[in-house]
Amino acid sequence: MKYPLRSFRLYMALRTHSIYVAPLMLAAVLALTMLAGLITGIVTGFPLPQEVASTFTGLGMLVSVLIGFFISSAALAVNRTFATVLAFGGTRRDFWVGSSMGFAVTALIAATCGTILLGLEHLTDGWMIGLPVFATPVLGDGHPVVTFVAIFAYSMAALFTGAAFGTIFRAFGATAVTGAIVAAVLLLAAAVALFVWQREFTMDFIRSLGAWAPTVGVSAFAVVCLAVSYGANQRATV
Amino acid sequence: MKLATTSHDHHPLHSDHPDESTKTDGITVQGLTKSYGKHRVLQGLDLRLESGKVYGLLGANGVGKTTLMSVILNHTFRSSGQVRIDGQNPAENARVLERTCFIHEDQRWHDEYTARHLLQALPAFYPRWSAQTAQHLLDRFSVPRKTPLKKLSRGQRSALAISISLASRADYTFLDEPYLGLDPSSRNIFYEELMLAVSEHPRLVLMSTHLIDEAANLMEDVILMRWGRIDLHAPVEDVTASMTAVRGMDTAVDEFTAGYDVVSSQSLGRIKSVLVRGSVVGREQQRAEDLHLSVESPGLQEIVAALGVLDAEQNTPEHVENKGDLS
Repeated sequence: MKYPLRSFRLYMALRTHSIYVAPLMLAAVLALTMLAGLITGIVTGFPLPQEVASTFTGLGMLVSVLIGFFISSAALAVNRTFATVLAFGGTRRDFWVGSSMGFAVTALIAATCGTILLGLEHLTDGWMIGLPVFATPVLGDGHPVVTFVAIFAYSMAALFTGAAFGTIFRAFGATAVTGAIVAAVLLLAAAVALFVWQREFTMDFIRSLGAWAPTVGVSAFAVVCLAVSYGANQRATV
Repeated sequence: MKLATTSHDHHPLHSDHPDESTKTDGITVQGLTKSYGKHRVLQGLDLRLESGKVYGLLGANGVGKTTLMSVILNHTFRSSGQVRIDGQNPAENARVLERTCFIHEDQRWHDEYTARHLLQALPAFYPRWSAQTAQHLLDRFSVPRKTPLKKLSRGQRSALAISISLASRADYTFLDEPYLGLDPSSRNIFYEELMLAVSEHPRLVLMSTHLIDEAANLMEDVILMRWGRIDLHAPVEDVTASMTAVRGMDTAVDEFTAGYDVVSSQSLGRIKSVLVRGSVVGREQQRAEDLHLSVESPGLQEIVAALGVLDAEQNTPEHVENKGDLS
């Protein structure tokens, strides 16, 4: 573990990205959602009626904001830190392992903060205005364990997606990244088509997973991105 | 090819108290090739670099100096051939690579990294990392610690790379045109600190440079590259002793050098300067004096320029094929 820890330390040295950003973004999303809830409440009254509150759960703002940031952050981290680690006498494998450990820490921080905020949301009956920010279907509908695992899985998937594209760029250049994005979109479209075609089976399967369904899907995606990022890492050059 | 081998036991860079870094076996390269598509950058190199010595890697732009350094440390993959560091393949070999440091001339840093971030992480990378040396060098070069690296000037980034390279005390330190953007006084600091660092903690330094005369005193061996091949690998003093500069009035110079192998010739008005192979001694020296000619040892840069190694026009594969052996 000595060698991967060097890359891990380099990743963690940039605390803004590795530690602080997840709590700050979650707080920002909370503030923005509350602002929207307060403005809505001027018309509907407080606490927000159930049918109005349910529209907020569908926003998916929380997830999309974190995912977007983590993808770009990981792509940049991998693209630039890779060259730094090699310059300092590191190996590709150790860089990948060390960065992955760093991603796990970032995802754990996001998951912990998200779960704590979910707890506060429960305690305050939706931030005192009946507003569900973290108790959303994609995060397990308010179940704390599911929320923790879901945010961790979303974060890891996003970080490894960024890492995969960042490493593909390092290994094969900008054209390859474009090709990889096109391929990823086509694969997702194919998966959706398969899902729709076999909807009776897939819907049964999803129903059997219950609140865990989004998390399981995202976790599978994270594993694919993890494998792609490792494969590209072994071919990347400075 | 090597001109000759000589002992360097008394080189000023060699410490009387070598530490553990001198116990390494050095770098061996055999039949090394590197191609990018159809473009072959390295054309089957053989090279032996001894531990604890400072090597100057010279050649025109694009001859493969950076590629050679990158391939040796596996930053770029070789197409064929073999590289051994301390007798081991360095590819994905953490135990070997942890004793290397190679910050590229165009090193990519994370946009938000500062020197301080790097200084926090670097002790974990190098067992013999000297924080004191790093701070001392950064102070001497006036490199700010809290400014994002992307906002540093070219010279400041070079100074940072130099500071890290020397403070790493890595057994194998590669410097790729380390002086870029540095003003003359900063370059002097670099040369001074490099000499001090290597004398206190001997290590193999492979430095590519175009400022040959400035760095000549630091180099023990010189490696001249031309179009992906090594034209010359020899101790600096052997190279400088292999030629003589003859200067004076053109007619006298022509008369004197008629029997010599003239390598290069330059004229300014009626004043002519000619480089000839070999030395001018004994009665020949007297003959030169009679003709009022100046006979002296040329600088390394003058020799390298005369050999055409720095001339891009002479670095085509066709030229190299026709030119053959330079030594």
